[in-house]
Amino acid sequence: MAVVAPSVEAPAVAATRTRFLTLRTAAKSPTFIVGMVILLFWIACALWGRAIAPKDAFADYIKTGYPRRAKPGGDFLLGTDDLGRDVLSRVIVGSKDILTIAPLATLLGTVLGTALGLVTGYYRRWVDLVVSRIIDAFLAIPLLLLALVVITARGSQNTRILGVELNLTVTIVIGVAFAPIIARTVRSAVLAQTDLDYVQAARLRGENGLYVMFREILPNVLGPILVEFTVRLGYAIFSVVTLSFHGVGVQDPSAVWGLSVSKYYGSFNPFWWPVVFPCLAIASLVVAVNLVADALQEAQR
Amino acid sequence: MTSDNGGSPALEVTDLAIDYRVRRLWRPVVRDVSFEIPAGGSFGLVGESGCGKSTVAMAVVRYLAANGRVSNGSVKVAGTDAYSLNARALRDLRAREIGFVYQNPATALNPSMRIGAQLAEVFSLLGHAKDEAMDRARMALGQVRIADPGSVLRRYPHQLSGGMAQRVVIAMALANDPSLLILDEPTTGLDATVEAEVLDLVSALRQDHGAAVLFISHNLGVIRKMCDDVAVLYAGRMAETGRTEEVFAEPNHPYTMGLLRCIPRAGATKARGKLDTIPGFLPDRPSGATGCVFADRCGLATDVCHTEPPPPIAVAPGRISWCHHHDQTAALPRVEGTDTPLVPAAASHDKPVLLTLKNTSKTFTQDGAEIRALRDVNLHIHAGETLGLVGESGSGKTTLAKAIIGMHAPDVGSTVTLMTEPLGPVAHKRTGDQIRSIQIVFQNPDSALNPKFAVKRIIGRALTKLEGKRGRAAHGRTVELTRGVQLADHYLDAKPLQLSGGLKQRVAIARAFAGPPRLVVCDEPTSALDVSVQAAILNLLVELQERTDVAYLFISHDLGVVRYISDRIAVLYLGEVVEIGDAAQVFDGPHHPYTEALLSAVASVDGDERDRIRLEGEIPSATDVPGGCPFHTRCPRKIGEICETSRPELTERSARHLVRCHLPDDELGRVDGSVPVPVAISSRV
Repeated sequence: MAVVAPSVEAPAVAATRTRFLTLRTAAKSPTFIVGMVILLFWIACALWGRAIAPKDAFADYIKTGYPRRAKPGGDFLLGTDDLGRDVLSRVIVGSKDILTIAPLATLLGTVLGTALGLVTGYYRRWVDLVVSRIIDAFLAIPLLLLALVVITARGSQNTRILGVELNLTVTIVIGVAFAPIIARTVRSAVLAQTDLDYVQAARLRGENGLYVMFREILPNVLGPILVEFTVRLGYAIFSVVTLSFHGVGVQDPSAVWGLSVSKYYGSFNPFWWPVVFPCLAIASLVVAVNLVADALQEAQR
Repeated sequence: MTSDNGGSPALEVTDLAIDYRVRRLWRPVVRDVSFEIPAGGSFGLVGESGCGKSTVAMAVVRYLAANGRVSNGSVKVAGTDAYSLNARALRDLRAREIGFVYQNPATALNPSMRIGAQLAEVFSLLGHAKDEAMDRARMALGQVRIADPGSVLRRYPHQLSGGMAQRVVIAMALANDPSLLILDEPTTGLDATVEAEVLDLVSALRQDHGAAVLFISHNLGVIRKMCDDVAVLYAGRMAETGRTEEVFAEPNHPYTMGLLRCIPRAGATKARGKLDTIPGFLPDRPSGATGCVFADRCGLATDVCHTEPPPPIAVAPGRISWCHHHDQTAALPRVEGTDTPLVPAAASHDKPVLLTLKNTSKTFTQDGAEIRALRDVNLHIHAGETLGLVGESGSGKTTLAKAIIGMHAPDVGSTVTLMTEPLGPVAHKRTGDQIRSIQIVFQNPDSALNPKFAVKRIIGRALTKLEGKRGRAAHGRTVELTRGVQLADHYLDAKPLQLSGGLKQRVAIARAFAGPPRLVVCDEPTSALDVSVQAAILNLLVELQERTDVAYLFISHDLGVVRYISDRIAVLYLGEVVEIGDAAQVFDGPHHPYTEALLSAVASVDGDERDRIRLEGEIPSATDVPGGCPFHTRCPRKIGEICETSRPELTERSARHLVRCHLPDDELGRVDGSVPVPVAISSRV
């Protein structure tokens, strides 16, 4: 029998592009813009730190006749430290380690966590039970202990990957430690999706699990994953700082912020500037990341 | 107990205009809505989704969403202008004069508070002492006919059925003895039997309390039963208003006429012809247009309709129409030809059997308890026929559908055969041909389609998987399929988010037909849709059946819809078939007492009040199926002990008509099913 000609007229649908909807909605919020401006500043510092810094971050200015522990102001806007190094330049250059390790670690954690979350959320039953218990056990190990053990055992040398100096051990430790947490978030997002009929429809036409998980479900949970990534990024920054504060991970003469804080916090009074300014840097970076995360979360709704 | 307000009406809405702020622009949503409910009167607001019904109700209690505003007009509740009050006085007005019942009782109650505490809270707020409040709560539950208030008071909301929860909400709304009771789709999520009970309850309580009622529903039958007066809303404007029976009997606006024609009612069947539809879509920016908002979809529209907004025209005493051509309403041309019978008269039972279920059962285990969702179901579906499946929620309709489609395996000992081959218990154990042969159309088109995929990918993937078609071949077939469901080509690149509910359902149907299938399970495919869209989808399903000789297993709680589309009908109660036969046999009787009760519960838009048969209580739990005839606990025609001890067999009462009941034929009831109405209706409407 003849095919009936289309009779349904076009409804006046606004031709909204649905791609990257979360990002595009978020980009309009002031929270996102403020966070992004600060974040971009630090990214620029990480990329071109030595060019931006007013002085050489690693040079000893005592030799050139300046006093050690110079107070903020004058030639050294944020003062100098014990070794006569410029605090401002060190804060600027110090962003590099954090901004390579933290995002890479978070990315690693997100990839691992997403895979785990998809599998546990989709298969449920015993797969879920077994993997979830392993995840729980993993979550019970404090990050710091885990890092101490692994770094002591493996050593903590920088590796050069694709032209970037990187402390691989710290990156992997943080990434692996984050994976279970991210897996939980992804799992709950996947659970909500598996109840939907489109997933049933896929199963009922005989699709295999991999296709359903990665092709059908994954695109629908990318929003929550993006939010989780930014939230975790904030924590990853904390983790990198904490590890270097405790002397594990990145080592002197690196300008990394945690190290500077750990070295000088004992002599805070009256020698406060090498502690306070790196702390402010840490705070501003974490706040910036959280602002972005908040804006993305808001855009999700 | 009628509150006396010096004769002022319970509600007076004048020239109401409401805007919503969307993307920094105020958009008109409701315009020029005026109506009045006298003290103790009942008024219905009816229309399809998006017409502004609920918005008006929210504006009445001054509870619009944060991005909404009333830009013009006034609302007077019992003589008090709600928009002149300060926060405290407004709160007081709401507490004293208004009761509000929401659509979904499950979310209207606080899930972490016992019913008693929640209900008593209302009375405490009204100034009663604590222990007195609890006594009041108990009385209130008695008033809404809850048999055992003591036990209900101690329960949490999730332990109540939908009907019971809605009674509690009604009890709460009536606690303050309001002069105005607003009911926003109060029975939409409920079964027809429960709906009938709730409506009866509201009618009775209205008499006791003398409260005026503002009743909002998309269901014309319910409005017909409950309301003295009605206003039909379209795109935020009044289309017409007047006495309910007059408006429905002799509409004076083409939109009302269109709505009435969309409804499969009073014995309409696919053999008698297509359902009429309303062409086009709700305008994207309602109320902003010059001219009549309905003009683009109206068969009567002339130039004047596009340029001049229609004024209110008093067409008869108490009746106002907003239509330039109200006097021509009866002559509204039909969109779908109605006189040509669609389905050839060849009876479906002459065709070969496609699917056979023998002793099919399904038992779930939950917390050690066995839930017997299906018990020894025997039935078959012929090629090219539609088997309708009806029953209350909890009767096993969906379980049966899921077993057939392969979502869960039936119990061991069940035999399901497709043609001559045994059918794999679950989808991944079926052959490619079996998977292709049986597909499904889900109830909710929003969740049935992957929101991230374009239409062509959704259908293309089904083609690849079911038919092994790829690339160019798949694309050609995709276009064919979308055209087959009357979806224009430019939708191929659209994503579900950009489609309306009806269009989404068309995509879902196209996907199910990718195989092509021999049997499509339709699980309430139109219940999430507006009536005009429902009519179009039903027409489409019938047309596809005619073209491809596909069989349908059609599940619906709407008996009018089931009657329209089904060749045969099976009635399920507590997981077993209590009656099965040709559609006409099941509808005309003699019926199983359960079928009789289902049929008599329907609120008909024609308003022909039948002798209603009310079922006592709720459907029993499937964990504890009553012995003997499982229906004996609610059966109004119970004979005696035999019903409690012996389970009746499904016996043939006339050719192909089987009923599971101890009663002999001549004692089985008949709901007036002679159905001469359709001819009369089509000539009049």
